[in-house]
Amino acid sequence: MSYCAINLPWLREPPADFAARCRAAGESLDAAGRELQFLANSRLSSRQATQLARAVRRCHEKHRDLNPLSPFRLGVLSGATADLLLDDLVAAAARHGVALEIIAAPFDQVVQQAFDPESLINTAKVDAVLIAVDHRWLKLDRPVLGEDSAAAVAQGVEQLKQVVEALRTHGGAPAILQTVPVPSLPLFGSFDRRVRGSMRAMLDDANRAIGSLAEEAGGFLLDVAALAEQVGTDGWFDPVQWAAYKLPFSANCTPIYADHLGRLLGAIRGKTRKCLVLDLDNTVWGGVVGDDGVAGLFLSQGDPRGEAFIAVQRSALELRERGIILAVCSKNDEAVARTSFREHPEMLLKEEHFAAFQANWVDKPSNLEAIAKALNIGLDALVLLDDNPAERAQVRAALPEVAVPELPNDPTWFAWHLRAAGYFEAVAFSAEDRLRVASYAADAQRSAVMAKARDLGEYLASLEMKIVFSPFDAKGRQRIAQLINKTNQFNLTTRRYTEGEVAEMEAAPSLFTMQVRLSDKFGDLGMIGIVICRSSPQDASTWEIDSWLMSCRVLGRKVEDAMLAKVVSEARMRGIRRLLGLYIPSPKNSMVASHYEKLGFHLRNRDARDRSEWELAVADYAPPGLPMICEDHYPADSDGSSKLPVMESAEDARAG
Amino acid sequence: MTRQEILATIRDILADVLDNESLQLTESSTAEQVEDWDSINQVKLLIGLENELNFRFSAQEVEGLKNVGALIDLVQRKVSAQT
Repeated sequence: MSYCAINLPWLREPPADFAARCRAAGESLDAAGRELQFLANSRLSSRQATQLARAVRRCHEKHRDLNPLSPFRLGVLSGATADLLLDDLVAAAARHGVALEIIAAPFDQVVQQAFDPESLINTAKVDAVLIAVDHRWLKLDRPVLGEDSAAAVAQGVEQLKQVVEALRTHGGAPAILQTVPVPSLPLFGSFDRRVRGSMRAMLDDANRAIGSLAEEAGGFLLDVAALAEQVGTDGWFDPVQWAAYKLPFSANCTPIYADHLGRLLGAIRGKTRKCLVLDLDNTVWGGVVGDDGVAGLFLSQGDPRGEAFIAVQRSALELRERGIILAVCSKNDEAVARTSFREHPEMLLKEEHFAAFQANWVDKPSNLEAIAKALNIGLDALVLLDDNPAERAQVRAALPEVAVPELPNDPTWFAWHLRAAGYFEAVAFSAEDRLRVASYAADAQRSAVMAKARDLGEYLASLEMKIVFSPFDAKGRQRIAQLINKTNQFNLTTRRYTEGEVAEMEAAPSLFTMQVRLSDKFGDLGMIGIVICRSSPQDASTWEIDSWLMSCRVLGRKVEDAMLAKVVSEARMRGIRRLLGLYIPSPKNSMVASHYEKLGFHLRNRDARDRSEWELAVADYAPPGLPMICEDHYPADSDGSSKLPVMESAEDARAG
Repeated sequence: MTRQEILATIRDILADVLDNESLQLTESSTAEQVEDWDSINQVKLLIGLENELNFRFSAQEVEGLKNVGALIDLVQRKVSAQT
């Protein structure tokens, strides 16, 4: 799907039980506010927006507490049919932390409502009044040639100004004004810009004046002109829906219009997010620094892949310039991650730009909690940018308060998704905003925050993983060799083998080989793990684990547990009684120093260079519960009888 | 599409719009006979039909539809014009 803002592509799809959960939230649920915000934070059809708005309305009717949503009473005055927008407005407001109640005036009663002290809007004690009018209400819907076009603009804006002042006088509420999009009805063509009385020129003038009016009157501005420009004005205006139903703009644009108003209301209520948290590998740079090294990262001008990541970094820096705090949350070795920021010549982001730096192997929800704690801000102030859909799903499930934009596969669009999602909507900008970032960074400097792991059983089960084990074969050969030669971090022995050597292993009788593939509901992760075992020359009933390596993409998913369970079961069938694991330290593999210990092996020996040998008695091993479906392509029947010769001792092992 | 299928589609969309799952509709039903079927919900129904069946009404076409049967006539014309 190509990028198209009208579809709100940064939002996830709603949960399958959306309608039922809306009903439940409207009736009986205690934490209704939290639930409604979670439900609203997805891409809603107009029908779903209505279901959500009904739930909010029911909560209001019963005077239920909708915390953490902040209440907001909005008056709506429109020069057209606004009724079709209202449910979407309520839903979008909930998405942005606001429990919205709408008091809508009848069709085209803007002036009457504003000037009558007893009108619905003036007596409703609203927090603000949206004045949703466009070029038609301003009487700027046709060119003014040969006359005084400036007077026409002034007259339209003056009428708006009087409405704003009347509302202030009689009702006391500030106004939310809209800029006015320009319909694409060229009169002279490009020359329209140079003719003062063309619609384009007049509406440009009017929009400047409306911006000033909002500021002078202490009101707010919803930049509908910019929104229509983003969508494309030919898609924004719908002459048929205007003629038939008096809709001010196409019904297709209702969700994005509502979202923009929701952001603004959220910003008025102080819900704007404060901190952008960045994943590193394949989000801030292309590649995996732990495996590819600093020099192997894609981050260069002139390289199409690198430019995508430069755009992400530039976006982050621009946000920081206006006062958004930056933080890192990445599954990485901290020293390796920091080195990249120091040493890569084209890195725009530097260590000192980050107020918190969580690069470790702990799960992301725990790290995000640590970041919020270190910065002393709420989880609802965080936005996480992460290319990995599984990580995004995990964070959303564990911490629904954190905003996590959906991202497409092509990183070129990352910055667009981030910027268009409107997490950082502001209604003011001051010098302090810019200074604040520096103070956060100083406060939190190197405040190493210990993050605690959480029970992830439920999350792992929800991934619906399937793991497939096969012996080395010609089909997998190239990828096996690539993994063996590229994997640095999760690699117990860092032994490298050429493609030719891998091919020889396929038929070697003294070897047990295993390639591992993983898929989950988000897609196929491909080959992610390798094990090579050799029969010990000293003891035919022992396998030495020559190589064990895994892609870091699948850390924390119990893949290693599943791999061991498979190795042990194959070992049993072949009469093997003992596994010997070896850990050889390298500059990059410290994360697996206690790999065998965690899996229940016993330390046998550790030498002066910190090489360690670990032992597992096959008879003592009990397979753990695994959160995945396992499949294998080994030439053995499932009842345990093997096509390979089974030694007698295998029976003993199985009995134990 | 048969008239029966179109009627079922109209019923489903209107049931959503009116939040009334048990809504009963026949060819002779009119807006006046159905609770809450006002001009706004009529617009929601028409736009819902456009999105569901992938065509666009013109402004003239949606004027003065006297009952559900007339709407079915119109939808049938639109659908057959597509193919």
